Formats: sequence, C-alpha cells, structure tokens
Amino acid sequence: MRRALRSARAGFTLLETLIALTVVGLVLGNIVMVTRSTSDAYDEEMSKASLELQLDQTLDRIALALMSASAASLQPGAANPAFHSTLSYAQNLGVQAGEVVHGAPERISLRIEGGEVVWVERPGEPGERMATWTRSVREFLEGELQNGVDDNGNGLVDESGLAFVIESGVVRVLLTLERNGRGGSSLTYTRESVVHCRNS
Amino acid sequence: MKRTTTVHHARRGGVLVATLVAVLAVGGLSVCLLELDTTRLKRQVAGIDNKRAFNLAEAGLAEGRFAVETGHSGAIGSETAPARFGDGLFWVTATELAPNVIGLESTGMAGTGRATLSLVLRRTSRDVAALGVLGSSQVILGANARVDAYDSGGAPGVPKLPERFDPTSSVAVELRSNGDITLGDDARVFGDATPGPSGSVQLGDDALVSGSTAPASIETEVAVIETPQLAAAGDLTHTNGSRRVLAGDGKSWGTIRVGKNSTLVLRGPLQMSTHALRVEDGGRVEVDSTSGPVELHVTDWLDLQSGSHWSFPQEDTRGLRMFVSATGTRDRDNNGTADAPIHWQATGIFFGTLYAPNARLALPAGSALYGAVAAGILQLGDKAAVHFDAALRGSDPTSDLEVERMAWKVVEIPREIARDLGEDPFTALDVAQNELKPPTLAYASADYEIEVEYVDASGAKHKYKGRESDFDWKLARDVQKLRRREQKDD
Repeated sequence: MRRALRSARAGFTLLETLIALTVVGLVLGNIVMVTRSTSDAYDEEMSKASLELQLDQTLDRIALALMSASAASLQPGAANPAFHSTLSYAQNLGVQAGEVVHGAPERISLRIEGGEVVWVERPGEPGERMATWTRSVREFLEGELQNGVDDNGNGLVDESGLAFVIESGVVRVLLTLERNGRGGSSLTYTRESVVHCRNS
Repeated sequence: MKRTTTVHHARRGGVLVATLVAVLAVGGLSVCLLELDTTRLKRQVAGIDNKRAFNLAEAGLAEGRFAVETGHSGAIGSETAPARFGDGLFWVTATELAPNVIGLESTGMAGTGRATLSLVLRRTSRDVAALGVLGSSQVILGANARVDAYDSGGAPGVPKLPERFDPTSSVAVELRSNGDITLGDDARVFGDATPGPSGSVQLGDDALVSGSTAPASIETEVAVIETPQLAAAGDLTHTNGSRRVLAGDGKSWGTIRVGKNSTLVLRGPLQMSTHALRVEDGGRVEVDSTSGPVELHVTDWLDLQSGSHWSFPQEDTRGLRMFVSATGTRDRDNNGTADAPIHWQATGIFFGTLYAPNARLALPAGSALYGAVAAGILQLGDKAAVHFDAALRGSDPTSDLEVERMAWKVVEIPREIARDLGEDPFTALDVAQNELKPPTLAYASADYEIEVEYVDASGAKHKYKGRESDFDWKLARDVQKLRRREQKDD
C-alpha cells in the first residue's frame, strides 16, 4: 500500500505540467522569433550581397571582353555624351604570320523586355551564339527618369540600365541591377567601370 | 530510499533532453548560416584575388614591354624564380615569333587568384639604313646590275669591293621588298634577297643571289617622312653659270632650279627642304659635308635631267640624307606631259642615304650609289650598282628602336599552375617570398645569341655579338640595332 502511494506521487501535478508547458512554449516562441528575424535579416543581406556580386561579375565580364577588343572595331563609335545600350566589337585573337587576326563580330546589348544583358557572337549570321550574362537590369540607370533631363547628374540624359559611353578607345560602362528583396523591399545597385581597349 | 532516487533521475533526464534538442537546433542553424556566410566570403575573396592576379599580370606585361624597349628580351623571372611584386608574384616569358615580333606571356599570382595575359610587340626603327636596300612594292635589277654591301666604318672614299661574294665576310646586303624581286641576266645580289610574304624572287639567266631568297613572314613597314618646319624662302633659280652655296640656317624653298654650267653647293651642317629640285642639263649639285652632314627634303619633284651631275667631294656616305616625300605622276611643269615624282638621269656617284618610300626610283644604266636606299619601286638599270654601307645602320641620331603593340589578350593559365588554385602562390611554386627578386632585377637573359649595336655613356658606338647572358646591358645607354636569335645547344 505504501509502495503504491509513493509511485503515484512520483508523476507531475497538473500545475507543474502547465508551468513547464508555458515555459517551454515561451522559450520555443522566442527561439522561433529570433530565428525568423535572423533568417530574414540574413536573407536580406544575402540578396544584397548576391546582387552586388552579380553586378560585379557582369561588369568584369563586359570589361574583359572590351579589353581584348580592337578599339577600331567598336560600333557605334559615337563620342561622349551620347550613350548606347548596344555595343559591337571584334576580339583581337593575336598575331599569325605577322598579321593581327580578329575574331568573329560580337555584341553586348540590353534586352529591355527581360531586363537582360545579352552577349551574341556572329549576330544575324549563320552559327550565331547567344548567352545571357545577367538579369534584373533596370530599364533606366539608377536615379534616372525618362524626362529628357540628366536626373542623376552623370552627364547622360535618360540613359538605360546598361549604358556604354565611348571615347577614343575608352569605354565607360554603367550598369544598374534591381531586384525585390525577401521582405518586399527593392534592392538597387549601380556600378561604373572605365575600360581601355588594349588593342588599337 | 532507493525508489525515491530512481524517480529523481527520470525527471532530470526529461529537462536535459529538451534542452539538448533546443541547443542542437540552434547550433545546427548557426552552423548552416556560418557555412553559407563563409562560402559567400570565399567567393568575394576569390574575386578580389583574381583581380589582384590580373593586375600583377598586367604589371608583368608593362615591365616586359619596357624591357623590350630597352633592348632586353622581355622575359622577366621564370616559373621557378618569379619576380616578387607586392604580396604576389609574376613572371614573363618572351618568344621571338618572327623577326622583330616578340610575344610576351605574363602570369600573375596573388592569394588564390591566377591570371595569364599575352602581348605581341613589334620592334620598329625609323633608321632608314635599318631597312637595308628596299623597294617596298617591287625591286627590279637590270642585266649585270649589282647590289652588295660593305662596311666603311665611317671612313670616306670609294671602297674596293670584291668581284665575287666572299662567304667569310660578315657584311652582306639585305635586299628587301614587300612584293617581288626580279633580277635581270647576270645580275648579282651579295646577300639575302627577301621578297614580301606573298612575293618571290625571279632570276634571269646566270643571275645570282648569294644568300637566302625565302620570303619574309611579315611586310616591312616604311616610316612616314616628317618634313621639318623651316622658314619659307620662295623659289631659287640659279642659272648664271656660277657656284652658289647654301649653308647655315636651313630654309624651306619653293622650286630650286639649277641651270647649265651652274653649280649649287649644299654645305653642311645644313637642313633644308624644297618643293622641287630641278637640275638641268649641264647643271651640278655638290654636297660639301666637310663640316657636317646635309639633310635635304624634297616634297614634290626631284628632277635630275639628262646631263645633270652629282658631286660628292668627300665621298662620305654620311654626308647626305635625302628624303623625297613626293608621290604620284602628274604634269608638274605644265608642259602637257605627266612627270614622275623622281626623274633621275644624273651622272656621278651618289654617296648617302636616299629615302623615297612612295616613289619609283629608277637609277640609270651604269650609275652607282654608295650608302642606303629605300624607294617605293626600286629599279636599277643595266650595270647599275647599289653598294650598301653597313656602317650607316644606327648612324641616324634621331632614330631609336621603337616598340609598338600588336595584340593583347587574355589566355588560359598554364596547366601546371591551374592545379594548385587554392594554395598560396609562394607555397604552390615552392619559392621563398623573401628570396625572390623585384621585377627590375629579375630581367631574364636567356641563352639568346644577340647582335647589338649600342652607344655607351661617353657617346662611343660599339658592337657586340654573342650570348646575351654574357652581355652587360648597363653599358648600353642607347640601343641602335638589335638582333636576337635563340641559342642552340651545342
């Protein structure tokens, strides 16, 4: 009889259970809240970092292509302050039998519908090759509106999200990427790079 | 008592399990976040390292180009002993792709970044004599015409040249064209006759080229003539049968006309230009280089009529440098007949350098020219001779070796380097950072056979032929001529 009473008393009382559940609930709730806010902040930072990385990589890719290009092959070759959202060029492939050899024509352009930077080799010719170098390109450069005014004060009027400014074998490349963050906020980044064509 | 203890154990275990679950969940999440962040950081660092490596490779190319400009091979360091630069390293390999065409390949390494860039350079010289004997479009030698070479060493006078080519002689002519070279019957070339890349050498009966007739791999470039800006002086007509001396400050004349029995003396040092130089039958032009050389620019018409005469009392090939920028055939004297830019019927042995890259120069039968000549089309009449003076090479004080860029591109990094992408460059190459030399001390003097003409600090001219590794480049203040061939192992 004494043994049976002792076993029954060994369990939790209702009060103990309720308190324990409440404490556990509070702890778990806090953990979830902290985790979620951390995760949101992390996602936000990751989105920013990813967009910046994407922007840098795209600009590096464009810069590398233009560095190897022959300056004389740049089309259109209009000078500052005009800008272009499309640039054609030919790579210098080296020297064979004393003569400089050029590659097939290539083109980098902004496809506004998809917000894409598109690279095309042999555009419009048989054997045409195409690749999308990046997405999320803004229609207009950051701070610019379609109003015939230089809103962002960079010397260009109503320039597109990808803009080339060409002057004597030097190409100024401007690019703006825009993407919605996880929290619904809009992330916008702009970079500018000045590329000297290494080949005349 | 024993049972009470058992109950206490069961209750402590429940809390422990719950705590462990919570800690593990939070820990796992933290590890995941940390891993993601580390990956992102690694990508960013790799991007930065690649840019640094790219910049190092660019620095290598710039240093290599400077090395070529100063007469070196362009090679800097090597994979086993690269040049230290900042906290990274680079080395540059140089290859002679063709005569005077150098390929540089620079590999830069920094952190985990690797980059290899290629640059092709071409050495050029504005020294006319460096071209040898040139007809940039075509060379035509008449019957029994002769083109050979000698080395005056700066001494004046008509040299005694052998009748036959001496194979032991170190002096041989380089007769060049970007088109064909045609030799008439019994014509002789004592040296190489080098046609253009798509040209050929055509030999008449018993014609002879003692050296190579292989076509050039690239075309010979001719420099544009830069006519000096001098004080304008109008026309000069000298027809009174006397001697008239032009000396002192150079002028830019309109048309100079020298009439019958009249002599025009060009006394050096003198730099002058003229729109047209016309020497009529019986007229004479004398070059007096006793006190210095004469530089004469003819911009539209060189008309040396039949019966006119050249005179070079000093017989010095350095005494006259004549530049004829005239081009195109048209009626220059308004007599209804088209006139070529150069009409050369003068008698007398010519001494000096004649440069007319856009005109046809036809030397009349039996004429002789000592020095150097370059023309658009070079034609020698029967028994005419051009004797190239090798001493003129590099004698032009205004001409230096120039280096121009032909091609730049990104190339794949060497395979053996690509294996250790994650490693520190010094570890990957197994070199000690503090033992590596800076770029300027890492110029590689590979085993090249070089032939260099240079001016030392005192202004004296020297020649060196031999292994590059045995040559002290510090001696050369100014490199005037350079040939480099890969040293073959014995």
